[in-house]
Amino acid sequence: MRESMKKLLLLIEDNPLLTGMYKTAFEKKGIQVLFAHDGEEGIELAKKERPDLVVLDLLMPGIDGFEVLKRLKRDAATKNIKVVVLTIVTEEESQEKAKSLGAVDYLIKPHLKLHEIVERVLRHFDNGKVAV
Amino acid sequence: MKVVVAPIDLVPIIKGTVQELASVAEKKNVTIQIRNDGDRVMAMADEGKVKEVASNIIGNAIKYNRHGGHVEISMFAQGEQVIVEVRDTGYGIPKKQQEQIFQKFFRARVKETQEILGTGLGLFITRKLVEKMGGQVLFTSNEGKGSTFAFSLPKAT
Repeated sequence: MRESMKKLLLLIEDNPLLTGMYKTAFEKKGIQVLFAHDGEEGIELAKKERPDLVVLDLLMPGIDGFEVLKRLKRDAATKNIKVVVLTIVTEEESQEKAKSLGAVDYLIKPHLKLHEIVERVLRHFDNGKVAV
Repeated sequence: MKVVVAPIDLVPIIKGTVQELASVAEKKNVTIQIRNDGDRVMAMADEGKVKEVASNIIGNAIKYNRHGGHVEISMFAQGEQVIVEVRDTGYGIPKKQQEQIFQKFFRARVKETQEILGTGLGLFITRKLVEKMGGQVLFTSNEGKGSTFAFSLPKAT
């Protein structure tokens, strides 16, 4: 459930080591973080909680991140939620595909330091109104 | 259980482990993909122990997979750690059994994999080894869809 006044981020990521690490890093910036460990759970949470932003992994068991992105953008309830892809997949065509499906940014985990990931994601919150 | 850590590159270790398990994967027609963009992934760890850990986790991802399934392995640095994630397309671990999976002698009861032999010691030892090297091993599992096991080790600077 959304805490009043705080920006809400939904992290869809199957690696529990990373959800823990990212959650702590975003919470330090005053962001409330929800997470889902697979795509379907992520879509359900997005519909129910209407986060300000979704950070989405591409490789997950079951439906992958591209399919999640497609479904989020197809549904009137979630299509306006900004989605940032955060993945290990480096291929150019994957980046183009994510952007064409409506992702606002594409971040490659091993190419960025943790604080750089946080800063890039924070830029996408509406009006930049996040206490940093 | 003595652990001697030194800076090591995980990439050749993981690739070597996959090669050693190739015949097991072939028998089940399981394909394995390693994702690494060519960079070294340097950990402060004990090479022999990392091999044991990788062999157990990747071996499970193959053994408990479906015939014709897939295993995807990624390794990379993030924060102060290096992370190896192993994702499979197996039957998953039932929710009620997930808390027990690292317990000594525990073996998950899944109808489709009950014929597979095992002692229930693999993950118990794996966790101990990883923790001894200053890392963590965790997993998420989705019944019917697959599991993702991930272990971390301190990054070598």
